[in-house]
Amino acid sequence: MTQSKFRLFLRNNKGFLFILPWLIGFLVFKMYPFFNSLYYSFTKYNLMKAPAWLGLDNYIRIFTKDKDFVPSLLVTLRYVILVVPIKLLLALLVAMLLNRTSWVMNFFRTIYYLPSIVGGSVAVAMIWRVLFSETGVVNAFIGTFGIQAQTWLSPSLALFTISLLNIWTFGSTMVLFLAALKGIPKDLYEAAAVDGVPRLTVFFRITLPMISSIIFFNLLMALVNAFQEFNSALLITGGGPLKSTYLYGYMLYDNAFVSYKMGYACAQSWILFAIILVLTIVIFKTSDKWTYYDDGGDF
Amino acid sequence: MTTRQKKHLWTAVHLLICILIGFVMAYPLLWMVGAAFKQNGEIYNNSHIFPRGEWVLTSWRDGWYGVGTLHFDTFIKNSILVVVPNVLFTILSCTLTAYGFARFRFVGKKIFFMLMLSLLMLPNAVIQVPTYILFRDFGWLNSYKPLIVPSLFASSSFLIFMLVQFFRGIPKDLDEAAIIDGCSSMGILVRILVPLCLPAMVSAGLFQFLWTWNDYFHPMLYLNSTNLYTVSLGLRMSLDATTGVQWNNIMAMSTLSILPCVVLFFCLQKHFVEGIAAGGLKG
Amino acid sequence: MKKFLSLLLAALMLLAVMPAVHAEEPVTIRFSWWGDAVRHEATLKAIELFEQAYPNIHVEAEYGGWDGYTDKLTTQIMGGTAADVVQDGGHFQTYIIYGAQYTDLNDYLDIIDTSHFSQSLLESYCTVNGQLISMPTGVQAWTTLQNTSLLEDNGVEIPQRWTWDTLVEASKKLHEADPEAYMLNVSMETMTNWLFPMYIQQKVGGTVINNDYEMEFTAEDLTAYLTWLEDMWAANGLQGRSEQLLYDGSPLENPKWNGGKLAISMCSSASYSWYVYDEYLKEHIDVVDCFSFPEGEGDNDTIVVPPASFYNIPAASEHKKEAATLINFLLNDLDAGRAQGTVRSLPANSEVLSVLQAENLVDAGIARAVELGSPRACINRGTPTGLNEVQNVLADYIEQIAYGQITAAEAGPQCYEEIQEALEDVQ
Repeated sequence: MTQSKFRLFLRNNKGFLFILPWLIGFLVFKMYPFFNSLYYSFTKYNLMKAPAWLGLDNYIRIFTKDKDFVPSLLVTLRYVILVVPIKLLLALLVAMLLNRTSWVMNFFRTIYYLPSIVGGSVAVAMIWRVLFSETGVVNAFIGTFGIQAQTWLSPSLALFTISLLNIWTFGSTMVLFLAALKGIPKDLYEAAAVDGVPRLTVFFRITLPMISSIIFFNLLMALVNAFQEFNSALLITGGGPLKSTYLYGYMLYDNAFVSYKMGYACAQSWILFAIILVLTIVIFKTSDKWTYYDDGGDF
Repeated sequence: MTTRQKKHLWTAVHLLICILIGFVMAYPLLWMVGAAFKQNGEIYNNSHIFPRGEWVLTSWRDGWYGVGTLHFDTFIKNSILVVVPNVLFTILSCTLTAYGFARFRFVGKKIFFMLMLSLLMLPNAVIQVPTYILFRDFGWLNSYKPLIVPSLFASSSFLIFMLVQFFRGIPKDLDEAAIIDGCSSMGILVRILVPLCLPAMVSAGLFQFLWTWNDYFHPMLYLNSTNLYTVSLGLRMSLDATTGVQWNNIMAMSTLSILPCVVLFFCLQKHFVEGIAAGGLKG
Repeated sequence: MKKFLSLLLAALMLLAVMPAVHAEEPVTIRFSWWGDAVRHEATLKAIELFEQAYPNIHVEAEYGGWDGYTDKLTTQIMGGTAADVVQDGGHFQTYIIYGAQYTDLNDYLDIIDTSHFSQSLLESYCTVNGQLISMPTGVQAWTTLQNTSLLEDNGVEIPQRWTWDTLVEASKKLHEADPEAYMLNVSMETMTNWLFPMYIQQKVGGTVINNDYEMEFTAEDLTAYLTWLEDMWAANGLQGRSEQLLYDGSPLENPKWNGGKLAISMCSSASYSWYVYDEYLKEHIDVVDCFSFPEGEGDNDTIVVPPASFYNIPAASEHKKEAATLINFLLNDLDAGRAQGTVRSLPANSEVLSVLQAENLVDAGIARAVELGSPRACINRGTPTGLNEVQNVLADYIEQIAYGQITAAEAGPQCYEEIQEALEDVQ
């Protein structure tokens, strides 16, 4: 390419310059691990010996012989269905509740964000164990409403309990909703008030559409994270009891670093990747219909 | 009931709901603080905030001085050395990248964008080993480079995507008006998009701060020398599940280590709600 | 000042004795271990002594908690970046099955003195394919911690020695007298990785799964063990699985144990510092003499006394000689032995051990545990016994039994078959 042609290319593709940091980072740091894991998925690789080519064997095995694959996928689906809607709804409601300026609200915003901070702490497993044990404070709390003490990690409740751990850290989602709510032009609300539009209508006709792009973002990220979750299972339940919390991400970790079946774990990862990708594309396609962008939807 | 009474009632109910949820949200932290004052054995079986028995006051001092010649101030200093550059670089590089994706058309944009998002979808467990090999070959092990350098290159797909969503919420008419006024592409970013998306920028910085500050796994993998340990490593330094653990010390230092995050959030959170001139500019 | 002078003098004497060492280039080696605060302090002290004795070797101490230690070690071994001396909790055997390389210490026997170590210990636990892959940091035994007053207060007779059967009987009595109390405090790992091999070894008197991946027990043996667990749950000797599960990672942190409602806990003598920090526990629980674990009747009452952990030199190390020197010092030097005490359980070096005992540096509980265990220490249970694949199959069936989804009689043969399949797969 001659120099002038190169310049012309750059002038027409200015955006290229801006994403350059990311592109370099991708080529240098991300591409090799990313595609390497795809290669490993076609091999028998235990981390100690060089990978040996297997072709499709790992994938065939996963779909035909692996007894954990389907149950684990179903557990993960249930987890996703449990966590994502509740977390989003709660975050949005609390954000609306806190979306006003006053000293008190500043205080509460911080309080509601606390779990997101504590959630990454070394103490979180210990806290959870103490709170949810037979004689813990959670049982004492529901006892005051006359509800019988629960065994929180029984096969039927365990998944719900670790979902709570995730939902409890809705702080980041809430912060983004707050940031989005703030971006809604005030005159829209003023005009609605002048016309005497009822509150609920304002919410559905103004608020929701105006933050739809962030709802979309939060939805997608909550999905992606919930599908890959494994920390709570690792820290609290170990996947049990009766594999009721054997999340897909935990199964992967187990295979990769406890059983040293890295090749197999890579194949499972790429299956999960495909599932999330398809879901993402579907959401992206439908999002045209329900998300509103001020830039006129030109992307 | 008059409208005024109604309003007062509504305020009271509102406050009551806030306090109720707030208590549930804050309880674990309060318990953690309380645990620092409990005797070690009591921590396992007392789920109430206050110690039943004697108050222990030594955990803070003992936790701070920790093991050997390394004290907690070293860990805090190290964490700052990692987190501050990481957060600054991340905001800078992610903002530029997000701007590129949000406002320009260029060859292969959709493919790059999908690729960028794809990076979020592959579980870490399988990327970690090749990444380690890569940093080993760069000769970066046992240094802060693996924890800082990638942040120069917009390594967080989450934040890029997030900023893209917020940038797209700003009408393009504003850009066009600025161009007519003689503003460069960079000028539009700095003078229009960034100020208008301030809450989003603040959130991005806050998230990145929190994740990097709390991150245990990556420092654990890449740092060997104890004098390089960050707070999260220092906290777990004497945590051995097979032997006794001095939980009250760990609870004390845990509380201390999340304090910067809490203070930072408290100081920055007004940006999420208080209006600046933006409201009028927009729409 | 006097101390300083004598140290100086000692150092000078050392210099005079070892001119060869002194003339060598200064070398830095890395040494990584995991542990708690007590172990860290003691090991740092020993390293200090080492650096005084070998001024040309600098030791970079890389220590931390247990969280992620094996993940990191795996990654490092694979990347050839592990420290020159690594403390390994027995994973090395698994690693070697999977093809990792450690240095054969037989080549360094001129540096590492093994004369005070039991040769059978080195053979059964540290030797793989004729290569001496590691040195034991200490010997351990599984010990029984007993809340004697809980048993006595509820009128449960305490036998001279627990057997599998007397435990079941006592469980019934205890739970009848106090519905909140349970007999045994165990984690899933205790049931799959410790009780199971112990039970089987007492039956067969040898290895459980040998190094050719063959099970040396029958389906009936396995059924018998599962039946014992079934009986224990039926007798309320074990907590419900949903409660037990919470403390799988650290059974000694079970509030029922700390609250005096669990009669017996198992604990490795290597973990003996578990109550060091626990004033509350010391006060409220009548802690215990050490017993060896429940034995069967008859001659085969073997118990497991594997080393607590091991020192290895990864094959990628560039300073193997110096690494071997450090291992030798940590294990054989008397002062280093004094400094370390029993932080990695009882020293495997008989000379160091007798010095520690003479100077009252050994926790009476640990000493008694190992003393009781040693004469009945069995040969190696076989490395594949601890394979994750085997453990997972066992855990699955044990959990199903715990929730009454399957009877032990049904589970035994199925579980046996699945272990067989898992072993074939690993090969």
